[in-house]
Amino acid sequence: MTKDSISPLLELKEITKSFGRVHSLRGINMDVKPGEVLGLLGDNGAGKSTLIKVFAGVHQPTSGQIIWQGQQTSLDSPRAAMAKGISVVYQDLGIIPLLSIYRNFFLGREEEVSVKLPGLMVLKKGQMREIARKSLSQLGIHITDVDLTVARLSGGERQSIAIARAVHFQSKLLILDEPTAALSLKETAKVLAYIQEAKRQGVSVVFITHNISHAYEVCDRFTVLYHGKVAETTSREDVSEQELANLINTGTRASRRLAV
Amino acid sequence: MALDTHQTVAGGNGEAAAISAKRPEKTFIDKLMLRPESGVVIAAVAVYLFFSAFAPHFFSDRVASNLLLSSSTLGIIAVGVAVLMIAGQFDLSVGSVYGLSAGMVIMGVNAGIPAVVMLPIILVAGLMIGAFHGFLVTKLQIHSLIITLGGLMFYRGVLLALTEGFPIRLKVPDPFLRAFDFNWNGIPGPFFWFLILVVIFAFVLTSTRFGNWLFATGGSPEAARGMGVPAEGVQIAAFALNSMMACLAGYVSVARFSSVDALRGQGMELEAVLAVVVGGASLNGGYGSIVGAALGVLIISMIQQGLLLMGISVYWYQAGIGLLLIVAAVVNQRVRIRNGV
Ligand SMILES: Nc1ncnc2c1ncn2[C@@H]1O[C@H](COP(=O)(O)OP(=O)(O)OP(=O)(O)O)[C@@H](O)[C@H]1O
Ligand SMILES: [Mg+2]
Repeated sequence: MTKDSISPLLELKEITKSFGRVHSLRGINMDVKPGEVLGLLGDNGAGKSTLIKVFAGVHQPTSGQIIWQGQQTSLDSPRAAMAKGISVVYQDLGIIPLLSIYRNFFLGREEEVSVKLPGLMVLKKGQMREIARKSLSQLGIHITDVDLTVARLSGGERQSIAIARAVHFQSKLLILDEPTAALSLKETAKVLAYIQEAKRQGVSVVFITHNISHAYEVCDRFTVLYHGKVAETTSREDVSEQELANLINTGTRASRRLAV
Repeated sequence: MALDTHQTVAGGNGEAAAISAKRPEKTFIDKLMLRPESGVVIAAVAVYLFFSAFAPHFFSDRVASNLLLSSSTLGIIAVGVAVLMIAGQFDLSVGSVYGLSAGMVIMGVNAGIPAVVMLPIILVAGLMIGAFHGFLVTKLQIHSLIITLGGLMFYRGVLLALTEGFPIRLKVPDPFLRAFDFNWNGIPGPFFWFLILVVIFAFVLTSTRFGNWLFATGGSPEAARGMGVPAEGVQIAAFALNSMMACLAGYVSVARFSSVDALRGQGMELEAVLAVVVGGASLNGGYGSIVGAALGVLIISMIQQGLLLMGISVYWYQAGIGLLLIVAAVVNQRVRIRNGV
């Protein structure tokens, strides 16, 4: 299986998104390949979050095409995107703090662990705990007490649960919006390791971050957004951290000082 | 595809390993204190012991029976209010809906509709009233306090207008209603209905998908939606169940008293909220318990009956439960902090 023989998992063609007179996305062309980690970079307001909300079925694009596994498609709702295998962990809304780990793990996807009575789905809680514990440990996260509320976990642990959830439910595409923001160095290292583990298990990951060295550590390719357009898409071998910084800040590889 | 070929187990992945191996084991006390009901259980025992010691005849059958009876209608209402509060919403109209429901049942039966038929009618009416409130709150984004404050005035006004302010009663006793209100070893029928509903709803909240969705929606509607929970539908369902319970309480009270006055249920919306909060629920939603709410109701009734037996003026009752609310709120806050909430 060579990388270039594989057709993209997801492809966007000329996607635009306007909120009234605010043109957040202005003709995005990009793709995500199976089993890769794609870094989505860009300055504040570049349009990263807006773009992934299009992936997630939260926003409908104003124009343009979405192609999923070779088929043109539309993502009408979060549930529709989820059904295709797209999981998103939003900037601060990844998970429900008051709910326990295992309940968060299965939230919105309780069918497989329920006894279906007419009009009621009774949860098999023992099985839920068991599966949650097992899939967390497959990712390298060993939490024995999955009854803990998520509020008692650290930021990195919370992200890890969202990632484990996506892996368990066989998501094909996992999108993480700044999962390492507000994390300590140690926690960040763990989350980066989970991202690589998810990739090893066959999941494509879109990783949004403001930290270039984090991105450089785990990503295979980068797409840099600049004012709602793609400044450049490049693989890691073909770009330096400094050039990435320039792309984010100026939209070109040369820094502004050199360009002017 | 890569999906199948890379099923390596990452147990040996050193970097990612063992996130929380160092977390201390929870003690038994910790586990108890983690439950939302823990504060209210202690409070219930304390109130019970207090009145056992200081209120004469607190153990007599008549008093016990009164206590259970007076807690049942409020209890049935409080179960619904708890469901709604956990889903992150309020309803100030339950007292009025309860009164109006009792009025409608009596008028319906007096007009010749059998009480057996009146039961489903009034329950469906409750579901529809609540769903309508829920629709206005979730789809039109109007705060639930506004919508249901309007409801409080409206349903009370309708009852006042229909009865012209006079008490109304059943003209002929109805066999079904009578069967609804049995008495078993001094335990009044309405209390049985209350208990059954507590058991059903406690189960639904802790052990079903709908219960999971209620807590998730109350905890964070946006996050729940992002994880595939139809948060608006869940809140509308909670409103509907809540109003249905108020209507059921109205029906049960007619079975017991065969009459209703136009002010029946006034102030009950606040008593129900009080009971639910004393029972450990968070006003912010996403946290709480049905069993806790039921114990909250029992505490209120014990204070009511206990003060009466001690010969203390009923005016002190209000002062008493007001204090209770404040103390309970402080205690529950501590419990929630321990729980990391
Ligand atoms: N719902 C909305 N209505 C109007 N404008 C919006 C909306 N959502 C986003 N925008 C605008 O779109 C632009 C892109 O925002 P977006 O949140 O996608 O940026 P971002 O790249 O995620 O930034 P950050 O790094 O700060 O998270 C901004 O100018 C923002 O104000
Ligand atoms: Mg953003």
